[in-house]
Amino acid sequence: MQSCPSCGTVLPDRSHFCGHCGYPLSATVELGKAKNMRRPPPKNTWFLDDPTTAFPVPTSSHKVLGNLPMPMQQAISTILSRAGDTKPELSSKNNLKEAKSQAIAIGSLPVLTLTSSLGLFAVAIAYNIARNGLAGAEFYFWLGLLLIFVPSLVRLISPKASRFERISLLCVVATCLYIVKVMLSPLYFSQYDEFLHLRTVNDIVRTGHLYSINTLLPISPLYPGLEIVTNALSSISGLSTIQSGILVVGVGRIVLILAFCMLIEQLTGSVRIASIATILYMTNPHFLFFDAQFAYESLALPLAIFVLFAVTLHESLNSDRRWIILAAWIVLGAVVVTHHLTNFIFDGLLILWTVMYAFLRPVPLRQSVVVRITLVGILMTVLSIALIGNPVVQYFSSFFKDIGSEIGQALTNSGGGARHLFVDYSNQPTSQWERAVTLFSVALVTLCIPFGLLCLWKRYRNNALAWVLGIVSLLFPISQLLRLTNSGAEASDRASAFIFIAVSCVLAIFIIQFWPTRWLNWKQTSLITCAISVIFMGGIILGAGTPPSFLPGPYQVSADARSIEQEGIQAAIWAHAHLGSNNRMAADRVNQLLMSTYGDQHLVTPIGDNVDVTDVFFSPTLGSYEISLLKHAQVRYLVVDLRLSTALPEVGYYFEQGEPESFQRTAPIDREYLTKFDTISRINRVFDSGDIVIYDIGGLINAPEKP
Amino acid sequence: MRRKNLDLIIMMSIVVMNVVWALLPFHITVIGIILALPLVFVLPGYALTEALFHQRSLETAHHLVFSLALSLAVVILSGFILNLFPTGLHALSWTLFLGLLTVVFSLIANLRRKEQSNGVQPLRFNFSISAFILFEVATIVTILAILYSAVGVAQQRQPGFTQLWIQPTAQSGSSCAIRIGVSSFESTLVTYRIIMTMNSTQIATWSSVALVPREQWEQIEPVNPGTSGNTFVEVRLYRLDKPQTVYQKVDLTLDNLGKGKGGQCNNVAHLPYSHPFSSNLQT
Repeated sequence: MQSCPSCGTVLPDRSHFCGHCGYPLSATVELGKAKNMRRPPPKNTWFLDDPTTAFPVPTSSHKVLGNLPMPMQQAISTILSRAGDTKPELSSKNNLKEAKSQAIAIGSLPVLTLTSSLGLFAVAIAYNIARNGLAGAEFYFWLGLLLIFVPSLVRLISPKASRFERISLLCVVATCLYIVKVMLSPLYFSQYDEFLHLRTVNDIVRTGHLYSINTLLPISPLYPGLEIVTNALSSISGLSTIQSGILVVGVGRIVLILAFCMLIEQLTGSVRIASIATILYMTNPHFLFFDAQFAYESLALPLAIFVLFAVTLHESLNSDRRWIILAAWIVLGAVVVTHHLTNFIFDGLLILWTVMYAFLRPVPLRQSVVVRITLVGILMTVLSIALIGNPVVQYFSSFFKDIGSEIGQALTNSGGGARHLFVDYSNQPTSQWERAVTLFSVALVTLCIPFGLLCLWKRYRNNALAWVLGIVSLLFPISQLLRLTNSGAEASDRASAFIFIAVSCVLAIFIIQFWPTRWLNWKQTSLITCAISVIFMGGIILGAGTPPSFLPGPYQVSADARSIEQEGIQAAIWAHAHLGSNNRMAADRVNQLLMSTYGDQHLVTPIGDNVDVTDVFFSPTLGSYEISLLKHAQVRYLVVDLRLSTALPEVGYYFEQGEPESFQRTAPIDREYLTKFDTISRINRVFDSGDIVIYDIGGLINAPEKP
Repeated sequence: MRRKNLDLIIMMSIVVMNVVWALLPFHITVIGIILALPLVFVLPGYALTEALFHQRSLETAHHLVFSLALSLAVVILSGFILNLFPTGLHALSWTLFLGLLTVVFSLIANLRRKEQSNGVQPLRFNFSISAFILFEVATIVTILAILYSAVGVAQQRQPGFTQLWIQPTAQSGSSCAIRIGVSSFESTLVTYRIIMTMNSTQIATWSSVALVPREQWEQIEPVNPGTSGNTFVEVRLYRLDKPQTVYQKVDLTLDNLGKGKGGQCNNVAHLPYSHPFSSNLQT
């Protein structure tokens, strides 16, 4: 054995060049006599052999490399050697064994907790500035987020932090980011999906039983996992449904962070890689808002990641191994009844894992815990789909059909499938710096993935799960292409929460391999921190849009959270109090939510009733076609929000995605279209709050057909 | 023995307290929250983890995530079981069922603990006073941030509005009446004038209805129209500070007044029709 005089890397005797720094070994020294181990590699040195890798570079590769220019040869050799470095954390004292010490070393945890809380306060200031319509909210928002994220990131990159400190820091950052979402609307739900599930919870509270009818999201009552836990907490504690929902998702988030960190720790054997991967996972476009909302994915995702963790833990336990499988099955069962998409994707991951396991065969397949978990998962999924009336297949097929047709339209330039990038549906452009951050974020991840895969190949290619993560990470660039269409953009965002499980792991391994701890200095730490921070900011813009679109503020037309305000809520409360429950109503997208949840009404929707009445609102007159449509749908009340005529819809449409000119609208809906009901004698205008009018059309739909 | 099973004893105690609390006729929310949080998020999973991994093969962090995840899973699966019973998902059924599961898992854990234990070393906390102070300050700042945001939402300036509505209502005997209501959600006291017309003839006026924010005004007005044909009732609301502009307006067409079944006042919209989709509709 010998060691490199430049960097101190331990090398086999036969080596002619250092595998790390490329230093020619003409002046090698004996192990233990190396000096100045943190000195950077000397310039203008290069090598071709790579003794630290498991498989030396083949002769043909030498020939190819030999024909390349000298700087390129040096670069490739350095990349190969760093990717295969077996001990990138050699100087670190917190390898897995030592890091699992039971002593608590809190390190910088108290200080970083304080900086995170100060970041939260900055975000609270940003929200209140935005609510009052003042300038400067964006500055405080980004300042607050970076205060939460960056100091902890720097500490996690550092090799000095203990395992306890790392895990605690991850929990602090995740909790603070969750509170950032909660503070957006701390008194009531404001995100679109939250109302869909709120209706299901309300029905459980009202009836005491599951499987009610939810016309806004008919599939929701069939996957009531989130609603069940919320109902349990709400019933036992006396908290409101909304407060209970916030707590349930918060606990789910802690499970997500802990399970994810420990999953990667089991895979890599390094808590440092695991903690960096976990904080990288927080940069995914849906982490800050979408997966923090009261929706089934927010609970199913943590449970699904826990299942993966349990499977990996099985390998490392000396006793109680069979009980791990039982625990994994129980949680897998909970995933199956909580969220269809998460369940399908994790079934796919498990199948891929099984295939890779069969390919690598570390133990006979029939003894593998992965196979047993996968088979049970598939069985439970099939049973859940086979339930009578479960519309999950139709639900997904229509979604993918929409994406396919939009991609086709975009490619052939034959319709409205293509999406205008960096311009929202109300024609508000994204600022230049935000465009740059977003593009740089995607480019950075895309460019780093190949290097991460190289590291994965060099270090973990004997691990089936590593293969799975490597393959899944390749989906990231493909998913970005979907952003060129309207439905595809949503699919890309939805996929990011799952693809980033792999991407974050691959990137974390890349970081650890390419910036080993023995050379890590403040410049490299700053570089890594800046890059991850850009990915973090870009992810937020990708997932939630630019801050003006998601910060609180005055009412906006068809803007989901920004459209939820007192007039709409009070109209829905009035409807419940004076009209009773479950009247058949037609309304725009936002009033659908309010009337369904606060109003407890039956909203007539294409997804829930197989009939689309939006033509009634877009027609200049109420003709025989519109009346027959209303009769067919048996609509009793129409809710008309006159504010729709004042602006373009922020989300691209007013009522339903298939409405005329959805996503393509250049002018708001005509006010006369909305007020035409005033002139029909058999329509009663029973409620008026200025902007919102409720019409009782029972007389019209019961009127005899004209001959 | 007691020290070895101290965790199980504490769990049992919390379960008992929850059951007692659920049976009490009065409830204080704060105590309910303190009792409910461990029962829903920790106890079932912790007890199950202890029952499954009796050899204490899990280290502390793993034990924590197992407790949380298994608790969530157990609660979810329990919901389906409770749904099978006529009582359904209610406070008492939840408390009893989760309590029962926790007790059963704890008993199994207790029995299996007797077999063997390799004893994971407990964590040693070495927090300094300065660390505690920093955590306290961080907690206070976080709470202040949430409160500041909540106050911001509550005090957010929104345009005021007023609700006006009209509904037919049955009076005693065979007479008909109209229920008119006004709710003010304006930012200050507003005085209104309300005019009610029937077939374009003014039949009632309320010249000064003053409402403070969140105040409601309701009036039931008997109507005695002709004996045949439809009757068009319109109510207009004016603000006294803008007396010429109709602020809100509602209307109602009544069908064959006084001749409805059972002497009820028939709104044209209230004619019955069968509903093809749902059985629980109020039509």
